[in-house]
Amino acid sequence: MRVTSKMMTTNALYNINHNKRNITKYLLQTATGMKIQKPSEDPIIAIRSLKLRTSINQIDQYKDRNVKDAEGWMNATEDALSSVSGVMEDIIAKCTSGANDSMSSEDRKALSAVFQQFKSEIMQRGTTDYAGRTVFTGYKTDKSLTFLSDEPEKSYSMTERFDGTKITLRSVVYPQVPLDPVGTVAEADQPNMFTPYTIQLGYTNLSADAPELPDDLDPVPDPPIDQSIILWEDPPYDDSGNPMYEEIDVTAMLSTDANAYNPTDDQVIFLHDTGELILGKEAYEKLVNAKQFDFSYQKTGFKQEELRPEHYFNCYDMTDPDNAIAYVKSDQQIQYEVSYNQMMTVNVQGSTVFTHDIVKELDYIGHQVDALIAVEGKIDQLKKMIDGIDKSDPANAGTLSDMNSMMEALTREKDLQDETVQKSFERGLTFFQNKQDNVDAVVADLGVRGVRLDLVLTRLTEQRATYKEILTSNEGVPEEEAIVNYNTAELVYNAALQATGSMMQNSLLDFL
Amino acid sequence: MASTFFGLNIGLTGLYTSKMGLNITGQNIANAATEGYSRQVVNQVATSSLRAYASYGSIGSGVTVKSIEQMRLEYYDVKYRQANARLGQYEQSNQLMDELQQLFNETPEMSAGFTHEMNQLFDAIEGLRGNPSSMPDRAEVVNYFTSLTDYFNTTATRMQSVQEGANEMIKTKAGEINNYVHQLATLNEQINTLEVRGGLANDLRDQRNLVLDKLSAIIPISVAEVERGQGVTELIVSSGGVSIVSGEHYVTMQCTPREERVNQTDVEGLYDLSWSNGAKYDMSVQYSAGELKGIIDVRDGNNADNFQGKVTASEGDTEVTVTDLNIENIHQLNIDSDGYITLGTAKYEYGSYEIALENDGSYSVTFQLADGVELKDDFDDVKAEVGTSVDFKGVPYYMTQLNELLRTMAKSMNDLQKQGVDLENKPGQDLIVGYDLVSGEEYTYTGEDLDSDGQPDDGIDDFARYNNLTVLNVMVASAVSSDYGRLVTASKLEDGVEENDIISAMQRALTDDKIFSNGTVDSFYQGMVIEISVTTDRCQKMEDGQIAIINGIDANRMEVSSVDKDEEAANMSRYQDAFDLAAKIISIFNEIYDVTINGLGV
Repeated sequence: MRVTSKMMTTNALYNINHNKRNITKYLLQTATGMKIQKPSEDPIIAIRSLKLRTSINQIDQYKDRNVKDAEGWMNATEDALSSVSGVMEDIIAKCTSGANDSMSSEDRKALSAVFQQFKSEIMQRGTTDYAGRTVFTGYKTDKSLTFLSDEPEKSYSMTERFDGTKITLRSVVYPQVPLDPVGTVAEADQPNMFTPYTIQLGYTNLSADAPELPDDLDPVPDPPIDQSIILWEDPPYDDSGNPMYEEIDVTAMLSTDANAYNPTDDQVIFLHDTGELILGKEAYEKLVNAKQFDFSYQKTGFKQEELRPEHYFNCYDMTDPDNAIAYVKSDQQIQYEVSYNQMMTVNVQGSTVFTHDIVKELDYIGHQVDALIAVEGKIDQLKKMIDGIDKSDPANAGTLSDMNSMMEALTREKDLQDETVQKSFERGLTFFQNKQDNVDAVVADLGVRGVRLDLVLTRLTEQRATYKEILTSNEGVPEEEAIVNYNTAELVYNAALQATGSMMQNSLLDFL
Repeated sequence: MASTFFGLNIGLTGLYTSKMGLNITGQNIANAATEGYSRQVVNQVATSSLRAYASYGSIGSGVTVKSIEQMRLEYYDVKYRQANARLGQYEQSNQLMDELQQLFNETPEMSAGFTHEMNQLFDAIEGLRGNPSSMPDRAEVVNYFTSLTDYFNTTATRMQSVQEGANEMIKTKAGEINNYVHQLATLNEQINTLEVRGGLANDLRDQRNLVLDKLSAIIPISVAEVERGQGVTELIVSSGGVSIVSGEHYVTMQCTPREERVNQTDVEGLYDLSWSNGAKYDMSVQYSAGELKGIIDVRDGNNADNFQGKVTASEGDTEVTVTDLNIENIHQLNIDSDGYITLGTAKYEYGSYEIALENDGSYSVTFQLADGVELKDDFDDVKAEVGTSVDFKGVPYYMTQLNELLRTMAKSMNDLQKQGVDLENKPGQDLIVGYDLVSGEEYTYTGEDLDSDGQPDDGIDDFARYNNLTVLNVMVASAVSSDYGRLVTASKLEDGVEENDIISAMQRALTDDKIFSNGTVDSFYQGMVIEISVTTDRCQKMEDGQIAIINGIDANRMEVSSVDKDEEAANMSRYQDAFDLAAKIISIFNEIYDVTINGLGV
C-alpha cells in the first residue's frame, strides 16, 4: 500500500482533533463538575436529572413550606386550646368553691362578673388566627368564629340539630316575689322551684314567630322549616330517599309567663327570650331516646362575642331577604399535603370546642347568682321598710302583717334560689370537667399530629439527602476522575503532537 | 550503420526526457498542498529502434515522453461523493439540531427551562392550596402561569429563529449550487477546447473534480462523461433524475418564498426550491442526502406526520371534506388557517377549515376553498395532504409537540376553572388562552356546547376549539392577569374561602399521569427532550461515522492521487542522475567528435 505524506498528516490531524475534543470534554467536566453539558451527550442522564430535580424541588416544597405551615397552624391552635383549658380549670375551681362554701353577697357579685369574664376569654380564643386566617372556622378563614361587634341588623334563620342526650334537667325558681305592691302573697304566687326537662337552644332573644325563609326555595324543604320539632325516624330516609319524621308542635311563650316552666304533659314550650324548649312528659318520652331531632328558629340582632351561626348550623342569612345566603353545615377539614400523598388535617373546627352550651351554662350560673343577689337585695330592702314602720301604731298592723307574709315568701324564694345556685355550681362542675376533658383530648390529638409531623419532616430530610446523592452520582463527575481523565487526554494529545511534529519535519531530502 | 551523430541524439532525448521528469516532479512538489490536485506521472518509453541490418539486431534510439498521466481512480470519486452527500446532510442537521436542543437544555443547574417553570408553578399552586383566598398567593400562581406562557412564547420564537436561520442557509446553499454548476459548465468548455487537440487537460480536470466534490456535499449527484468523438467529451451531472449540468449547459436552483404557511407555527416566507428548467426539487424520494436535505429536514421535519387523509369530491365543488385523517389526537393538528391542499397531484388554495367529529368517533376536516377556486376534476378516495411529508423530527414536529402539550394543559386548566367561581362568586372563565397575533383579540373556549355526558353536541369537539392556540400566541387571559381575584380556586364559596377543590384538582391535573397517553405533563415534556437529544445525538454520531467513512475513502483516494514528498525527492534525484548521465553521454560523444574530426586531421 502506498502511504503518502499527505495521508499521514491528514490522519494525524484527524486524531489530534479527536484528542482535542476529549480534552475539551474532560476540561468542561472538571470545570462544571458535571458529566454532561448537553442533553444529547447522554439523554438518559439528562432526563433522570430533570426528574430528580423535580422530586427534590417537591420535597423542598413539602419540607420548607407545607410542613412549616402545618406546624405553625397547629401550634397556634394548640396555644389557643391550652389557654381555653386553663380558663376551664379556673371555672371548675370557682364552681367547686361555689358549690361548697357559703358566700357573702359581695363575693357573689364578684363571682357573677368573673363568669362573664370567663365567657369572654373563651370566646376570644375562638378568634385566634394564623397569619391572618382564623383557625377555628373551617374553610371560612376570612370570617371570625364570633361576631366582632354588635350586629343589631343581622338576622339568621337556623335549624339546630339535637339528640336525646341534650335534654337536661334545670331548676328555676319561679315566680319571683315583687316588692311592689306590698301585699300578702297569695298561695298561687308563692315562689316554687321547677325542674323541668329542657333543651337549651344555641341563642337567646329569638323571634317568637316561625323563621323566615328565602322566597321560592327550590326544592321546597321537606321536612318544612317552621316552628315545630322535627323528630326523625331511624333511619331518617326510606329506601326511595323520602324523609321520615314526625312533627311535634310547640307553644311560644316568654320565660316570665305563668307556667312557663311548668308544661302540661302534652305541651312543649318554646321560651323565645331565653332560648329554651321546655318539654312536657309526652314529648320527653318521645325525644329522650331519639337519635336526631331538629328545631328551627330565627334570631335578629347579635351581640359582640356571640358565635356566628354559619359555623354551626344549616342556616339562611336573612339580613337582606332578597339576597339570602344559604349555609350548609359540613365537615371542613383543612388538609395540607405534607409528603407524597400524605394529607394531614391541620385545623380543629370551632364547633367541636367553642360550643353554645358553654355560653348557655355560664350564663345560667350567672343568672342564678344574679337572681340570688336580687332576692337578697329585696330582703334587705324589705327589712329596712319593716324597720321604718312604727310597730306600736296599730294602724300599721295590717301593713306589717303583709310585710311579714312577704318576708316569708321572700325567704322562701331565697332558700330556693340558694339551692338552685348550689345546684347550678354542682352542675357546672360536672359540665366543665367534661368540657375540659374534651379540650384536653383535642390538644392531645394535636400533640400526636405534631409528633407525626416531626416524623414526616425527618423522613423528608432523609429522602432529600438520598435524592441529592442520586442526583450527584447521576450527573456529577468525581473530581479525581475528571482530573485523571483530563491528564490522560492531555498526555495523549501531547504525544500525538510530538509524533506528528517529528514526522512532518523529516523527508528524504534531509538525507540526500 | 547509424549516423555519426546518432549517439549524440540519444543523449539528447535522455536530456529532454529527464528534464520533463524533473519538471513534473517540480509540478507535483509545487502542488503538494493544492486542494484537489492529483499527482502526475511521466510515462516515458524507449523510442523505436533503428534497424541496423546487422546480426546484432536493431539499435535503440533513445527515450521519449509518451504521456503525462494523472493518477486518479474514478471509482473512489463516486464513493467519495456519495459519502460526502451523507456527511453534508448530517453536518447540517447536527449543527441545527444542536442549536435547537440548546433551547431545551436544562442540564445546567436550575436554568430557567420548562421543568423549572413547572416546578415553580407547582409550588405556587401548592401554596395557594393551603391559603386559597390570599392575594399574594394568587398573584404568585397567576404570575407563574404567565411565566410559563412567556416561556412557551420565547421558546417558540427561538425555534422560529432556528427555522429562519435554516431557511437563510437554504438560500445560501442554493447560491452555492448555482455557482458550482456555472463553474462546471465553464470548465467543461475549457477542457474540450484543450482536449480536442489531443492530450488531457489534467489540471482543469482536477479543478472540475474538486467542484464536483464540493457540489456533492450539498446535493447527491451522479456524474457521467460521454465520449463525443475527436477527443471531445460531454460531462453530465444529474441530481435526483434532473440533469443539472450537461456539457456547457446548466440549470440553476431557484428559491421561491411560500405565500402560505404549511404549518401553523412556520415562519413566513419559507423557500420552496425548484430548478430553472421547471423540474421540481422534491424532498421526498430522490434527494436522500446532502446538506440541503440536512437543512430542510430541520426546517420542515414533521416526522412524516403532515396532515393527510382521503377525499371524495366532484368537479366544481368549492369545499372538500377530508376523512381518514392520519392524526389520532386533534391536538396534534398543526395546519395554518389558510394555505394549500394537495389532492392527488393537484394543488388547491383554501381559505379556512373546520373540524368535525364523525359518528364513528373519528374526525374530519372540511376545507373551504379560497374565493374563486373550485375543483377542476372528480376525486374518488384520493389522497389529500397539506404540506410535504418530511421524515425527520425537525422544528415543525417539536412545535406540534409543544402545541399538543399546551392545548392539553390549557383545556384541562380552563375546564376546571369553569367549574367554579372566583372570589366575587362570579362563574370562572378561561385561564390560558390564545390570541390573534394581528388584532390581539383573545380567543375564548367555551364548553357550553357539550351535552351532559361531556360529549360535543354540535359536532365540534371541545378539543378542536383549542386549534387556534399555539406556542406563539398562548397567554394568561388578561381578565385574570389583571385581577387575581378572578382565578378560580373553589367550586363554591358558601363553605368559606378555604374551600380548595378546584385548585387541588388543577394541581392533580398537572401531575395526572393520564393527561397524555405517555403520562404527566412533565413526562410528556421529558419525552420530547429525549426525542430532541436522541435525534441530535444520532445526527452527531452519524456525522462522526460519516467522517470516519469519508476519511477512509479519502485515504484510498490519496493512496492513488496524493503527492508524497519522499517519492518526489527520490524521483528528483533519479531524474537528476538520468540528466547528469545523459549530459555525460553528450560530452563523451563530443570528445569522440573531437577525436575523429580534429584529432584525425582529415
